[in-house]
Parts: sequence; structure tokens; C-alpha cells
Amino acid sequence: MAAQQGCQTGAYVVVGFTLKDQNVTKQTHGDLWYSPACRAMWGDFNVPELMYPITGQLWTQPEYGGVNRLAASTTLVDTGNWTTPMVDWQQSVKFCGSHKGGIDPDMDLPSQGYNACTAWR
Amino acid sequence: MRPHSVNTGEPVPALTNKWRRWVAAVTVLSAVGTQLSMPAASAEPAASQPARPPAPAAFTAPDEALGRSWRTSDDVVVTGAGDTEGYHLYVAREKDAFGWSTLATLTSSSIAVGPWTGAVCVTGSGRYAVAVFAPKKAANEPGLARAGALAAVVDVTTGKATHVATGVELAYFNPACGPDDRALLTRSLGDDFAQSTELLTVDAAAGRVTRTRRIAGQLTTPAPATDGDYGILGGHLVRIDDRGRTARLARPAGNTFGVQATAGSGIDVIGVQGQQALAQRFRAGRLTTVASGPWDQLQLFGQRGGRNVLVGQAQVRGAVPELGVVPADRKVRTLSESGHLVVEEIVTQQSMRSVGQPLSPADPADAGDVRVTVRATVSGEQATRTIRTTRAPRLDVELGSSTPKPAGARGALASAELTPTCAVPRNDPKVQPLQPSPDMVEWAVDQAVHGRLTVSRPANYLKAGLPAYQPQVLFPRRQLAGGGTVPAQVMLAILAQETNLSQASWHVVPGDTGNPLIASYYGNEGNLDVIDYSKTDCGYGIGQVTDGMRVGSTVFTDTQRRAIAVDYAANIAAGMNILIEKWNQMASELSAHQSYMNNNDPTWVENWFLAAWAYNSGYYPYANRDKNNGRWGVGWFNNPANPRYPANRAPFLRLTMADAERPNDWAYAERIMGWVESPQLKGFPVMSAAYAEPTYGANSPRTGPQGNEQVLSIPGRYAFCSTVNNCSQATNGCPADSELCWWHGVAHSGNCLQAECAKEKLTFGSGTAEPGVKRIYERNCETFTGDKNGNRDTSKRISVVYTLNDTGQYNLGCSIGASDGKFTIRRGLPAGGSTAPYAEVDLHQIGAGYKGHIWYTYVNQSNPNRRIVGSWTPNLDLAPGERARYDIVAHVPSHGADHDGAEYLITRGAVLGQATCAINFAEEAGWSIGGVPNPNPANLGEDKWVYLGSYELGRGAQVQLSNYGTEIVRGFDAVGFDAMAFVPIGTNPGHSCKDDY
Repeated sequence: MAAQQGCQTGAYVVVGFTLKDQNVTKQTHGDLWYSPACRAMWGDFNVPELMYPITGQLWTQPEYGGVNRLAASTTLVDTGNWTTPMVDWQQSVKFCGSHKGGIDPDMDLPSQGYNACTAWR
Repeated sequence: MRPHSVNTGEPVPALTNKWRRWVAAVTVLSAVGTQLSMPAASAEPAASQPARPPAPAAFTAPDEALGRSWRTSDDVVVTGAGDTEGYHLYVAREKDAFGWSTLATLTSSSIAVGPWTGAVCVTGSGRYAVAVFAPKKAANEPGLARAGALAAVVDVTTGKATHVATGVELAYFNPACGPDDRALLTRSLGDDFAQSTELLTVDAAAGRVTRTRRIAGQLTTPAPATDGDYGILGGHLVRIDDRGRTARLARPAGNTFGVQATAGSGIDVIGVQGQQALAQRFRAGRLTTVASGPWDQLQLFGQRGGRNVLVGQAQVRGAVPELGVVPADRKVRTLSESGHLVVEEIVTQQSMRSVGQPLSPADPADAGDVRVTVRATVSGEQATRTIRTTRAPRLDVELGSSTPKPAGARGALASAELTPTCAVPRNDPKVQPLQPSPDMVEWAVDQAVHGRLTVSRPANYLKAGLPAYQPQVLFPRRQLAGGGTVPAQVMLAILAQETNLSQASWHVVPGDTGNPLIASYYGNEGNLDVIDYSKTDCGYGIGQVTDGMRVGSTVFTDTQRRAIAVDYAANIAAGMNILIEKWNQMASELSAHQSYMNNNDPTWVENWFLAAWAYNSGYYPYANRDKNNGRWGVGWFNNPANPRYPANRAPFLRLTMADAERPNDWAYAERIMGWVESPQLKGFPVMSAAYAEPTYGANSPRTGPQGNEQVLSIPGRYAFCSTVNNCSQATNGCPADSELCWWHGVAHSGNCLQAECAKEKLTFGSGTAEPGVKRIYERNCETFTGDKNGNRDTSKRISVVYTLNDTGQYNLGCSIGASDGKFTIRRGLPAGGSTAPYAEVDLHQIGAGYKGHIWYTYVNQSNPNRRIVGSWTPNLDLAPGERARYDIVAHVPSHGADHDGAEYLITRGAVLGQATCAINFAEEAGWSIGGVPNPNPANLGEDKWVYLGSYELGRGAQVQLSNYGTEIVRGFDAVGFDAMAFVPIGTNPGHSCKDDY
């Protein structure tokens, strides 16, 4: 999507996370991307191996603060990649991977490394 | 939820020059009827606390002033005064020649407030002081005046302060001490329809409330005695039993303003009867007059051991056991425990300026400065000293949250509860009014009252996105019923009383922009941990325009509402219509039901007394009498005959500006008349009147030492007492305490047709252009170029990240480019969670800092409701994978930030490590020097850039600053978020953290 919209050029990973699941050898990884050209951010979720369904979530906050908004979420039941829709860069953005469905892992107690988020950016 | 208190465990050092404390907030104290008192914690003198500095003697020759035995005397006096730091108790001991030192500071950082006020008494043992304290603004809100103050017990020897009660009455008779270590507090419950009083018994030695009794009716001037508790109810001296039942004992002469028990000789009562003050003693079932004096020059004080003293010009009728006399020719504030020293007056520098200088930044220099005038009773020698508040135990009462958090994700508020109910948002970059200087306000009022406030505001005025408009075209002036105009001085006095002439929040000085002044935007009555949007007030701006300012209201268009929030002139145009409406409400009644003053001609200032009364506490129309038990008129709370106001009071501000210390001693309309007579002053460092005095009639009353100072014809205390409201001097007001006390009718204070009244005086005539704002801080529009950095790598771009991502919202008028990056704020802990809405409450934006915008909040280490994190994320001039060295430079604002330990977190990129740099805002801006507050009262701070150091940065670099930090004992705790610059330096040597730019 980012490529189709011309955002890919110059885009870079701002920050990422890796889940720690003892049931798999290849860990799920997520990256938070930023395109200066498009002033947009998005998440890229790579699930090379999984034992249980796993959810990727893109969260945002208003630029000068407020309550979290779930901008995008999907649950993968098979291996693969998922790229979130793009969101406005101007707000605070973070990207999460979780075994906990729609619950923001930051708002819950992290459990055994199955849940992780990037820092807010 | 019960409130609780916390102890910072730290003594308060010198309190001067603290930036944040010149701010004041519109919101005030805890809820009416808030659940009671509980002793939870106290302010202990810290173990390491140094001995109090020797207090400078009050008298330079104490042998002559106090007599030779002063060195061995145990006489002591405790008094109090409030400023923006809190309510300070001061102690002076005769063995120190009555040199003053600070005993304790009482405050609540849970409340966003301005100056504090209070009252203090000393128990009969002389060991404990009992204090009631509240934000001064509580005096403007009947509900808060009735039950919105805090109470504490303070050990007179150590200064240990213990919070004992929340939600008590702010009234001249509260607290009340007696001959032993018991004290009484009152809490006035009810409204204009019914009233009762809760009487709290305080065991001062134990530091707690031991009993609360409910008494039917309005109990005033309570008095604990060795054989029970007494007070005045319905004009009678009553005894209150253990269950709160009252028994009438006697009817004292006149209108009682003091009741004080002796240790064993009876109860002394003092009241005003005509031109006399009469002191009576109740003993063995009967009252006997024991002394008399001029109505305004005789006072009653209790002393150590249960002995009473009359202070003033007393004519005593024979010897009276346990009653002494101290001559005085004026009203005094208090008397020492053995009667050797009279405190004639105590006033804080801030209070003098609040009379005088409501919107100058001089307050930080003034905080803690108190002027005390004393007189030695032995010699009559008088001395006036300015004392400085010094180290003392500090009680910081934390009110906690009384709003239960619903279940859900971490108790998050439901979405409906998250929706503000005030129509114009706070902390919105599109809503940043200019704080006008007082001359602008006078100009606008002078024009508005005559329908000439038609200055053209261009489209997008103050970047608010509004179309072009003219204030009194947008808000056409309403016609006064019967014709005429509002006297300019009446409107100015109301603006002075309501907002100190402020359109923007108290945090904003003239010439700056910032958040609008909004009364109770969060419905929290000042409690920073509470949001209750169902209880919002939504009073906006200088005139506190409330009607039509809630979401869903159709009274105003959105353009009108935003203009009310942003433009002081539009606000005055709208606010004046509200005052006119109050006049019209009464003037439009049929003549038989009308209420008015004198000849009902609006030309005369005095005739607006009733409209001002209604402006504060409303008017009940005749048409609604069926809903009100057949009653109509103005309510009882603001009736000058209400015994909650002392009967021996002189007109507000007429004799002394120290009256501003105790606004709750006067009814609202009396205060308005006081502000007409004594305009607020302005200017720094030299003050002058903020607006003109009225033009007095040839026969207006004259007063002053030479009898040539003209004043208003102010109605007497019983001008609004008649059979229609069951009110009389004989019954000490209205004994019913319900709608039966509402007044309507005609009252007289002067014959206006015989030139006994005053009318307006305009400073700015027709056609006068709007004055330019008199800035406190000159606008600093200097652009950061990085050129001063000799190490700059000119091959790469400098990135400056502003605090508004849309720099088009900067509205001070500086030229400004785009922000080369983004600035974000995250609120609450965890960020964005259930605490996020609360963290906004103490977040502010003002037009300080680089190009005129910063955000700021205050340090808070423990409360997740207050957590704020600001992040600057630059768009660095780097290729993918490239790293380069940068000097990072932070802008420190001249005002708005003074935290002395602001630690920036530098994230260098996706794969690089982090670093920190701590900056002392107070030192950098000049608010402190070497950790000590800058003593220069003219210091206003300065803008500057400060290096955070040089770092190798990659894409994704970021700088962050939070308000998580150690509470700083000097109160340098304002964390400001200003612009950040990233200067590429290539291979050149970089700068270090804290280097000056």
C-alpha cells in the first residue's frame, strides 16, 4: 500500500519489536515504518511460525495526548506478513503484537514475552 | 471516597520568586458537602530541619516597647495570611521581642488555585493553632463559601500541622477556639431553600475531629466552653447538646459578631446595636452588659487560660472576672495570648497587588512577603515590618478523587463521560485568547456600555478560524428595561471581582496568549484528580459567560461561542448583556413586585447593588413564585444582614486594602461596590488604578481623615430586611434560613436626585481606538539560525521542532516557518490509558517560549493521573542508514518553566542507545541563582537556548521530557515543553549538556 501511494521511497523503520514465544523457533517480528514523503506511519508484521493465533495492532493517540485509538488490527492464524493501513505521522503511534486479541498489551501485564509493543513514536 | 492528606516531609524554604505561584486558577476547592474530615497525615518538622532563623525583633528597643520583663515572657501570638503558596501561619514570641517566623504553610496541591485565604485561632492552652483555609475564589461561590474550606491543627511549638477536616465553612467565625484544647468548626449545608449547620468538634491535642453534629438552622459564631458548646442561632445565644439540639438561653443585644467562653466565669458575647458595640456576659442564666464602645472599634478575643479581652475603645461597667481591656483606636486582627501585643494589620504583598496589580508578574517576587503592623500594649509603640515567609513545616492536603472510576479497561471512563460538556475546548491550539492589559479592558467596557464596541476583528483573528466580526454586532447590546446604560464602573468592578480582568487563564500574563479562562471546565471544582463533565460550569473568559456555552446549547452560534472564548471584547459584549438581563429581570416585574434601589435609575452606580447581587446568586422571578412557596426576589446568602458577614465590618476596601485578605467577610454586591470605590491597580513596578473611579455626586458621602474623600452611598446591613423576608435587626437577620428569607422590594442608600449617588466616568470616549496591549514580556521573535554554533556543519539542514505541529496556530505574530519534525504529548500512565483524560487537567498552553507557544505542567512523581510526556521527533537531514553528529539545543522559556531537574531523554535512533541531560529551568531562565530564588523583584526571567549535548543520531531520533521527577522543595516544579533544535556538526567538536548557546 505504501509503495502504491509513493510512500516507500525514503521510508524507514523507526522502531520494532520481537515476540518471545518458546513454542516456536522463528519469532514473530513487527516494525513501525515512517515515510517522510507521505508523513505517514504503518506497521509491518512478520509471522514466520506460530503455535496460536496472533494479533497485530496499530495504536494511535491524538498529537497532544488523549486516549488510545485502535487504528488497525488483524489476527493471523497462519504464517505470513501483514502490513497495516497508514496513519497520520503527526499523532503518536505504536505497533504491537499479541496473543491477546484486541487488548492493548501495554494496558495489560506482559506475559512470557508473548505480547510486545514498540515505544510510542 | 474520603479525602486524605499527605505530608511532603519537607520544610518549605524561602518561598519567593517561584514562577508558578503567580498563577492562579479559576477553579476552587472541593465539593460542597464533601464527606468529612479525617486526620490522615500531618506535616512533621523534618528531622534535619535547621533551627528557625532568628527572627528580626519587631521592636528595635524592646525594653522600651515591651517593658524590661520581655525576655522572660511566654507571651506568643499566631496569625495568618494567604498567598499563592498557601495559607501561612506566623508566630511571634515576646522573648524574641516579637520577631516573626513562619510556623507552617497550609495548602493543597490537589487544587488548581490562586491565592489562599483563611483564619486561625489559638486554643486555650496556647499550644495549638486551629486554621481554616481555602482558595480566595471560594468567596465568589456560595456553595464553596458554605462548605469548601479545609481545616488543620498546628502545634504552636513545632509547627507540626495536621489536616483535620475538609468541606468546612469559609466564614469569619470559623474556626472557634475556647478555654481548653477543643475547637469548633462549622459546615453550612443547604441552599436558598433550606439550611442547616454541621458543627465539628476538634480535639486539637489529638489532631482530629471527634464529633459532628447537625443543627437545624444557620448557626454562627460558635464557642466551645468548658461546660458545652454555644453559638448564635436566630439571634439567640443557644447551647448545643450532644445530639445537636439547641436550647435558647438569651437574646443578646444587637447583632452578634463574637461569642467567646471564659474558663469559669461565663460566656461573653459582643454585637452591634446602632452605633454602639455592646459586650455582654452570660452567666447564671442571664445576660449582663459589661462594656460598650463604638460599633466598629470594639472586639472580643479569647486568650490563654480562658481569659477574654476586649480590644478597642471600651467603656467597662465595673470589674468583670476573666475579662480584660486593651485600648485600641482601630479594628485589629488579633491579640497575643497574654495581651502584650496587638496585631493591627497583616497583609501579603500579593494581596496588596491583587487590589493593586492583578495581572503583573510581580507575584513570584512577592510570594511570601507579608507586611505586619503591631503595637505593644505596654507602651503603645507601633511597628510595621515586612516579613518573609521562611522555612516551616508544610501541610499539603491531597483531596483524592471522589469520582469512582467505572469498571472496564483499568477503570477507564465510559466514552460518554469522556466527552467535555463545555462547548469550546481547552488545550486547543485554535483557542488561544490574548490576555489583555487592564487599559484594554477599560476601553472595551467604556465602549460596550454605550454600544460602541464595534472594533473590527479580521477573519481568523488570533488564529481562531473565525470570520471577520465586530463584538457588539456579534452581540448586540440589550436594552435596559426603562432605558439608560450600565455605568462603566459597575461592569469593571464585576470583571475585577470575577476574573481580575482576565480573559485568558490565570497562567497567562497580559500580552501573552494561552488557554481561555474557563470556570470548572472539568466539573472538578479544582480537584486535579477528578473529572465530572456533568458538573461543569463552563463560565468563559473575563465576564465568565456561562449561558449558552455548553455543548448542545442553541443560545449562541459556534462563531459566537468561540469569540466569547477567544476575544475579551466579544466576551465583554456578551457578559454585559447578562448583567443587563439581571437588571431587566427585576425591572420588568410589575411595579408591585419590583425590586430596586433608590430611584431605580440605572445611571447611578449604587442602584446596581441588587443587579450585582443577582449576578452572583440569582434572582427568583415573581412568575415562578408558585414553585417557590410563594416567594420571589433575591436569596439570603448575599443579603448584607446575613450573620455570616460580621456586623462590625466597614465597607469593603474603604479603610484598608487588607480587606482583600478576607473577601468572604463581605456579601458579593458589597465587594462590587468596594471595587468601584477602590479600583484595582496596575503597573509594574509602579502601580496605578486599572480603571477610573466614578464621578461622585456633590452630596456623596465623604470619609477619610480629613473627611474629604468621597465614597458611594452603600446600603446599610439591614436595607434588605423587612417583613417580606422575616428579617430584622432584632432577630439578627432572618431566623428561617429558607426561601422565607428571600427579599424583594425597594431599598434606599442615598437620594440620587439630591446628588448623593455616583455615576460613571469614562476614560475612553467615543471613537477611541483600542489600546495596544501593554506586554509584561516583550515579544521575542528572534529566529534560531544555528549561526552562533561555530561547529555547525552547513552542508546539512538544521531541524527546529516547534510545540505546535501546525505552526500556523502560533498567534503572537512572529514570522514562523514549518516545524521540521513533530511534537507529541502523551498523557497518563500507561500513556493513553484510563488516566489519560485526567492528565490533561493540569496541562496548560501559554504564549511563552520560542515564537510564543509552550505547553507546561507540574512535576508529579507518584500520581499516574498527572503523567505527561512530551516528545520532539525531528525530520533529520539524513539518508537511509546514515548517522551524523548533532548538537541538540533546547529553548528555555523566560516564564512557564522552572523545574530545577528537568531530565531530557535523548533517543539517538532505531539502533543507537539513549542518553540523558538534566537542565535547571529555574537557573537557566534566571528564576534562581545558585539554587536560591532570585531576590531581584524586577526579575522576569529570560528566554534562552541551552545545549543538551552532542550526539550521533540516526533516523528515528527523538528527545523526550516528562514531568516524572522528584518534588522539588523550593517549588521549582513547572515542566515546560518549548522548541527543540537539532544542529548538525559533522566531525566538529560538539557541545556538552547544559552549555549555553
